[in-house]
Formats: sequence, C-alpha cells, structure tokens
Amino acid sequence: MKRRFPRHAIPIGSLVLCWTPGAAQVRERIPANAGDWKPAEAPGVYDSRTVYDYMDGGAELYLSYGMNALGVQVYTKAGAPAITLNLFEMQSAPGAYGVFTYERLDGDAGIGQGSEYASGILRFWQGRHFVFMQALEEAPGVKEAMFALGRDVAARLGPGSPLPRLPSALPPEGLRPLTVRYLLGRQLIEALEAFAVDNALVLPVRCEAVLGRYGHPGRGERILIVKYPDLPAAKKGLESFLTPRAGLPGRPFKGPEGWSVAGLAEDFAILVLGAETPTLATRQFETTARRLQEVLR
Amino acid sequence: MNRPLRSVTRRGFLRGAALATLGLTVGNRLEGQQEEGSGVEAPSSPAARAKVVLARDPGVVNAQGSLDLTVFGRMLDQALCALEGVAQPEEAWKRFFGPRDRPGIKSNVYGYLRTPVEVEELLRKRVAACGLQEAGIPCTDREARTLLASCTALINVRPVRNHHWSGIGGCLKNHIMFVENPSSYHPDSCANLGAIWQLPILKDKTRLNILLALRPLFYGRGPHNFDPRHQWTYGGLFVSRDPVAIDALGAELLRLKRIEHFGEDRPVTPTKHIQVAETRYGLGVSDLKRIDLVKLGWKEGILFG
Repeated sequence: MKRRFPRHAIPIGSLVLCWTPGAAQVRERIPANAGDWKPAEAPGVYDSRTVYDYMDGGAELYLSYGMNALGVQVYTKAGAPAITLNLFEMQSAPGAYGVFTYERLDGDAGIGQGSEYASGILRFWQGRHFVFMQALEEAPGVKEAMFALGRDVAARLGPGSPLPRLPSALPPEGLRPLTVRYLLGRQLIEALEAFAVDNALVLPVRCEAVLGRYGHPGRGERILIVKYPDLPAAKKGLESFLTPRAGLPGRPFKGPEGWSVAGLAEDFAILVLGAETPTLATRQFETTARRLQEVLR
Repeated sequence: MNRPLRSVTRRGFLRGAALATLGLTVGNRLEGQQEEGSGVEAPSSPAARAKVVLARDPGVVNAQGSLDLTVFGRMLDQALCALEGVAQPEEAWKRFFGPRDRPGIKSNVYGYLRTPVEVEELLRKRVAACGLQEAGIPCTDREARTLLASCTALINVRPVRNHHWSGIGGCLKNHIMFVENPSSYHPDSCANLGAIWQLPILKDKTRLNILLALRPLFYGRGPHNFDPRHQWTYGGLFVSRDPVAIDALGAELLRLKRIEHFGEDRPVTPTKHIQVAETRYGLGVSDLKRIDLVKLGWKEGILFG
C-alpha cells in the first residue's frame, strides 16, 4: 500500500539527534538571583542516573520524556517562602512539550512557549527545556518574583521549537485544550488509560501518542492517536484492542463507558473512546483520520 | 490481565461496604495469605476477605492544619477496637504487640506531607504500654534498613497521597526504604512493590498498617508531586492488618475525590502494584468487593457510599 504519511513527519528521531551533555549548560542557565530572593546554596545538578537522589519515584515521569539534565536552585528571602526552580533539559523539544502537557491544568500564563500558573506553581516549556517553579505559599510578592524569575529563565533558554504536529490531528470541535496530553512512551499511555495496561495495545517502549478529552467532564469522549513503527505493528495493536471487545476496525461498538471506534490510518491507530452515541464516535473517528492526513502531509 | 481497580463498579463497592455496616465482617485474618517459607507466587484465595476500619473526626485537624493529638488518639484507639472486635484499647493494642516483641515504627518523612511527629510519639507510647520500653522503639523512614532491621513487629504508618509513578503513596510503597536501591522497583508503575514485603528483612513483620487520611493529596504535580490546591481536610485514618486492602481503599478515596473535584477521574498512573500485591505476592485483598470497610465517626464528605 502506498504510504500517505511521510515517516519523518513525526519528530521521534529528534529524541536521539538532539542529545547533548547538558549538566553544565543547565547550571549556566540558572539565574544568580530571583529579585530579593537569593540562592540558599549552590544549585544542584542531576543527570538521568543521579536524579533519583533528588526526587526518587517522581523521576520516572521526566525520564520517560527523555530527561537529559536537571538543575535545581532554591531561592530564599527572610520572612518569605522559598522559591524552588527546577530546570529540566530534555533530549528533544517534543519531550519538553510533552512533559508540560502531562500535568497541565490551567490556562496560559504568558511565559515561554506554553505556561500556566496557580497556587504557587509556575510551569512552562521552551525549546528543549521544561521549567517547574514552586513556592509553598502565595505570600505578597511571591507570584511577582516567580514570574520575573520565569521570564529571566526563559530569556536564557534560546529560541523556541516547532510544536509537534500530531496533537493538531485532534479534531478541535469540543476539544478541551487543557486535557491534551502529548505522550512519548508506552508507560505514559498506560498511566492515563486503564485499558492500555499490560501493553494491551502491543506498543514499543518508545512511541508517540496524543490523548484529548472532549465535551463535558465525565461525559465526553476521548480520542487517542498512537503511532506504531510500521503498518504490521499497527495492525497487531489494533487487533489486540478490538478482539476482546468483539469490535471491527472503523465500526462503532458499545462498552461499559459508551461507544467506541478504533481503526488505522496507515501506521497510526485512532481510538475514539466513551462517546455518547455511535454516530458521534464514528464522526470523531472519521474526522480524526481526515485531519491526520492533512496535518501530516 | 488484572482488572484495574477503577473498573470495580460503584454498585459492587457499595454492596461490600453495606455488608460491613451490617456487621457481616468475617474478621481480619486473611485466608490464603502466603505461608512462611513458600515461594513468591502465592496468590490469595479468590474468597479471601479483608477488614479495614476508617475513623473520622472533624476536630482532628483544625483550620490551620494543626493536629489535635487527643482527638487523634481517641480515633486510633476506637479504630483498633473495631478492627479487633474488642471493647478496650489496651486489649486491642496487646493483640498486636507483646513483651517478647522488638517493635519498630516505619514512618514517612516526605517533606510536604509527612507522618506527624506527634503521631509517631503517640504510637511509641501505645506500643510501650503493651509492656515494652518506649525509648527502645525505633521510628524511622530513610534509615529503615538499619534501624528497623532487627525489629520483629512493625507498625507501618504514613499519610495517603497521590504518587507520580505508583498511583498512590500508601502502605505497600512505604516499605520501599527497606531496599538498597528503591528505583529498581519503579518499572511497570512500581508493580512489584509487593516483593519487598517478602524480603527477609521485612517478611511477616508488619503487624499493623495505619494509612493517615487527615489531609490527603489527591492529585500531585511536579518533581515532588505536591500541589497544595489538591490537598483537602478529610480528618480520617484507616487501620488494617492487610496492607493491600488498606491501600485499595486509599486509592479509591483519592479517585473519588478526583472525580468530585474535576468532574471526572484524572488518572495519573494505575495503582497496579495493589492488584499485583494480591495476585503475585499474596499479601492481601485488592478487590474492593472483598473488603469489609467499617466506618466510624464523622460521615460528612466521607465519599464512600
């Protein structure tokens, strides 16, 4: 079958190509001060082996997205809560974008290529970098200091990178943008979708996917697009999903959480999950397949 | 494939909880638990049941988040009495510890939500009242491999919280500090945490599990997985001899709170290690339908139907 989607359309390869030894660079990008907040001590710098010394179980999320180096600086000011800067250098810009989307909850805060702020947490990404800043209290002046620090850090990170293209294949109508999760590994998919555990989609460890939620919380459907290494692998994954559900490719079927449709577009699997009607599930599937062609052409 | 915890229906769970409230509990000794010296593969019986007691009081944590230790102590004693089916707290505690034991307390010092120091001290006193020297009861988290290695009877106590990679920071995961390289247990969503409980340093030593739900964290973010916005005052504690059942209920509590808050579940990671702790390691009961939940005290906002 003739391929309609160029294989290079998705930047998986950049995960390897963009690798640089980043510990020294991360240290250089950490500002000396955050306004009136001063460094409590020298910054901590970690790589993929030593990061467990800093956050143990939490490290796996960042490693899944290709963490290369992490710089940590705690800024303190007498009588005010400390501000902790975590500056991640990822192996690729898609990794930085992905880890930003994974825990995104709030609207854009105007820093970097994408950001959010709430309850003493400022998160943003730019290029190959993801930044997580936290103050445990929103005392007077803290938010302002965090935003100033964020802008200072962003200015040190160099130019931005193009967004991965796969997320734009999600149909925009009814999509809740803050729920879009860009995923770069099987385990990340399994973490967000219970049906996928124990590798039910027969995916390689490293793979690209996007998940979006539609309609009203608790009622709307989800759309998951997953890229397989090749068409045979995609067929195998789809079969693994459909067979236990007695489903057919591209046809709606009913499950415990509503109507679903799953099928392939070349080596991409498209899964529409939990729609209220078979018509809606089918329409979303067809729209996604069409957009996938347009976006990746 | 193991059924994920969240696939348990609300109706099914309510049926189990209803049995508990009707007094149809069958005790806390688990049938089918792994016997001494048997291999790792020891699934618990499909018929096994577990008992967990949840005690709540609106006064245990004040508006500033401070703990009222008197209220907490009363809740704990009542919970243990209900767990053991006895009237007097002293009698309940002596079911767990005696003069021949070398007791210890495995705590948790996670910076944003640690086991309160006052709770650690209270537990020391309660254990000492069973005929032991209070000063000789070690209590630690990070030094578990050294300070608790010679203990023969452990209390496992920690706050319940959402966790990046295992779905829940609960009693099963709390023993990870007994191993030299905790990150070696991270693959597959920390699925094999139950294996730690089979290590000689720990096997069959944990007598009592206490999962604090005073101010749980239902959704965390960031390197240390803490977002104060997603912490709420629940004013509760769970107790059980079964670390799997107590974690299954802890995970369900966080899931129900996420649904209440977000209008839908915002899964972070499946709590796979809870099911695996039953099916592969026989440590207890993970199926909510087979857990008898006894509820004491404050009912408002309890979330469990």
